[in-house]
Parts: sequence; structure tokens; C-alpha cells
Amino acid sequence: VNGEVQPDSALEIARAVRSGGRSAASVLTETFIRIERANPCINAFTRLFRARAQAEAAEVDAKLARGEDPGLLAGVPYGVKDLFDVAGESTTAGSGARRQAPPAQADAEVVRRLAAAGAVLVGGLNMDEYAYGFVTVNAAFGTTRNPHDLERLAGGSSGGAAAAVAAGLVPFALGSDTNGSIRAPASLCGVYGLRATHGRVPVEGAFPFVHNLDVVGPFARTLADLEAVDAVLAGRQEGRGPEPQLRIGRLDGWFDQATEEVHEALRPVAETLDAHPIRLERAEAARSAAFVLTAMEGGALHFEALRRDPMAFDPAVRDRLIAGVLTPGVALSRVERVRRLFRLELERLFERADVLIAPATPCTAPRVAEPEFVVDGRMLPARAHLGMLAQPLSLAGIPVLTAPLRRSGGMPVGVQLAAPAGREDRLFAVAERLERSGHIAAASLPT
Amino acid sequence: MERSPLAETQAAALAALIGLDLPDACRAGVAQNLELLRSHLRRLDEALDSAGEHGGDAG
Repeated sequence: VNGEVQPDSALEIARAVRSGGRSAASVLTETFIRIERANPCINAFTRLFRARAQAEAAEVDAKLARGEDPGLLAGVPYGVKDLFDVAGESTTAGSGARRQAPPAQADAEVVRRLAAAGAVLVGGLNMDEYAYGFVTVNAAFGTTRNPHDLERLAGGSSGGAAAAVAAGLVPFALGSDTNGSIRAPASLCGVYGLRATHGRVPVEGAFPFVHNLDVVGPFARTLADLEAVDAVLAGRQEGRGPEPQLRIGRLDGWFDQATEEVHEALRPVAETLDAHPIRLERAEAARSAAFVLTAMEGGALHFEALRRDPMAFDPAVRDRLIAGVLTPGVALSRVERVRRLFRLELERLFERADVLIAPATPCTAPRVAEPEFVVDGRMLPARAHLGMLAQPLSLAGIPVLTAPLRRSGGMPVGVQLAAPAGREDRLFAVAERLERSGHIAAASLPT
Repeated sequence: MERSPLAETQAAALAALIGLDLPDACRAGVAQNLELLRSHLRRLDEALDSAGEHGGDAG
């Protein structure tokens, strides 16, 4: 994988297609060539939906020929994490046991919205089985490799989506984020990712994990693409007036648990935004609450299948799910009480800051052969812990945008921008400012 | 993490209680993950204690 050719952004492709400069069919042909060339190295796509993609591209071209508006994302190719329903295809959710599952009867709601906007779905993307992990190391579908260094992890659980976008195979992709599964791989692969306010983007037709935490959302290489796709997914675009004066808080305490390399990368952003240190109390407990809730709800969701045939699961996921099943139900009331306390804490914090920033991951991408990292002298396994700085914010249901920090060398790493529920506009305003000042940009691939 | 035969036996017994026959291959992993969950539950207890919120799980 190298950066010889930097493919166009989603909005550039759509402009070219809408103006008649390129056909959707030709964009699709180039996309398949790019995927065939690079995918064997990174293992981002698990399958391609060729016939469907050709039909969707032909429909866009036909609409243009008839003088009709083909939509905001006309002819833009994209991929989806393997947990979205695609009509006529089995929704594997990353499980080898579900390869022969009955085909989905209809598209997931977000896939339907993207089709209506003229986007062209090209294939399914790798993930940790049932989205339970931060590594995209999958017993049935293999390991997704980081396009910036094939010896390193792409992160997870939406690792295929992040890697496909980072490698330029598609300009955007859809993932899901329960505990950080968009933010962690976006950080490690050097692309943008958005976890919108819980409930803002419909999850119908996405294979569930933890009802109270699940969010679906996009990855992209430019901020403008991220915002455009988010508008389509949410079915609306909040207007943004002149850039507001926003107070920025730099989360410390729990969120200081990162390598020196990550702190170094984040420092210029904090200085530019004049971010003041701010402490989010109970962040560690919030992380634990999300951890326990995920194990218990995930375990309950898969209980019957675990009882029927535990060996059909990816061993790394199975043992975590079973442990969740065995955890006494009384723990859930503690989770809920911690969640309530934590939300109050966040409300208080948002009286002193409009946007909070923190590293998205505690480190850059760990090696595939050694899937672990060290913070504060402790060695932690990546599968369960790469999302440790993302998990507390999941529990609050607030929107979080991950942006790639511009670096002069080294592997990519991202910053989380967080705002109160429903205030995605603040996130895009701050990110736009950082993009303009050159502090964030999708990481270039090595040539 | 070091294996604990006792923890593995306990995990298997707990699983049997709800009709889940824990294969040998799972026991070590399940026991380790249960220990991890226990450590997170302790953190929840500490947070509730420090907020003066403990007791009343039924509420």
C-alpha cells in the first residue's frame, strides 16, 4: 500500500459526476481496480457487492441522462462494516458462523439513505466478531492491517472501514461505535471518524451489540466529507453560522493515560485552541460501567448461541461474552447509578467548557505480533484496552469527533473532540478551525 | 495472567447453573475475563461509596 495516487474526496467525486465530467460507472471501475490491488495487503474488504454496485452506478448515470438530480453523493463509492444489513446478503457481523445466515430482506436504514443520496455501495468491511474488540483480529475473516505499516493493527472494531478509507480504496465508509469502535481505528489509521449523539443516526438494520451505547457513523479522509455523509445519515444538516467563540477544555486525569508520543502530538492542538486543563471526575468508573454493561448485554444477546455451540465463536470474543453472561444481574443497577452520576458530572463540566478534547487512543498502532501497549508502566492487551479513553464518553451518549493529528513522522494518532448531546455543530466548528490552521489532516500514506 | 484451577472450576459451576456447558478450551479465558469484570465492578463500588450512594441495589 502506498500513496502514489491520492484518490479524490467524496465531494470531489460527486461534483465531477453531477457535472458530467465523470460517469458513476467509470468511478466504480477505478474503485474496484484500486481494491483489487491493495486489499490483499490490508484485508479491509471481506467481500464485494459487484452486481449491486454496478446497478447503483448505472442508476446514477441514468438519472443524470434524464436530467434528474442523482443526489448529494452521486456516484461516490463506499463500504460498510460487516454488521449492516444489505438486501440479499448475509449479515455476518464478523462471525464465520453467520456466513450462511439468511440474507437480509432489506437494507439498513443508513444504507437506504445513502442509496437515496446517490452513493454506491461496493462491499463489506472486516471487524472484530460481533464488534467486541479494538483490534480487528478475526478468527474467520483474518486480521486487518494498518495501511501506514502493515505490521501494525488497524484498530477496531471497525478496522476494515478505517483501513479502507486510509488506504484510499473508498472516500468514506460506515462503522459502528459502542465503546470506541469508530474512534480507535480512526485514530490508528489517521482518518476522521464521527460518533454522533446516541440516537441521532438510525441503527435499524445494524446488527446490535449494546442497545444503550450503539451508534453508527462515518469515516472519511476530509472533514467536509465527514460532515456531508453525517448530514445524509442523520437526514438533516444543522446550519452553522459564523464561527462561535468556544471555550475548550483539555481533559486530564484519566485521559492523561497516554504515551509521551501521543501527548507530544496533541500539545500543538491544545495550545492553538487555548485549551485549559479540566478534570472529568468518575471517568474511570464510567469506563468500568461501560465495560461491565457491554459484557453483560453482549453476553445476554448471544446467550442462546453460546449455549448451543460455544465453539462456533471466535475464542477471543467467546470467553468475554461468557464472562458477561455469568456476571450477576445486580451489577446492572450499579452501572446505571454510576452512569447517572457521570452524566451529572459532565453537565457540570459543560458549564465551564463548550468542547472537550482528549487523545482518542492511549498510543499509536501496536504491532500485530504484539497486540499490547504500555501506559504508566502497565502492559495492557489492545483488544480490551485500546478504547480506554473513548469508553467513558460512550456512556454519556454525547457526540465525539475523532480527527487525525498532523505529524511530521511516526504513526498516526487522533484527538477526540466532545460536545454536549446534539451539539455536533460545535465539533465541526472546532475541527474546521484546526483543519484550516493545519493541525489536523488525514495522514498521508508512505510512498 | 496466571491460570487458577479454582477460578476455572467456579466459572464452570456458575455456567452449569444456567445450562451452559463450558468446554475445557474456554475455562481459562472465561475465568480470566471474570476476574477482569470483578476488578471493574470493584471500581463501580468505590465510585458509589465515594458519592455516598451505596446500598439500595433494589431501588
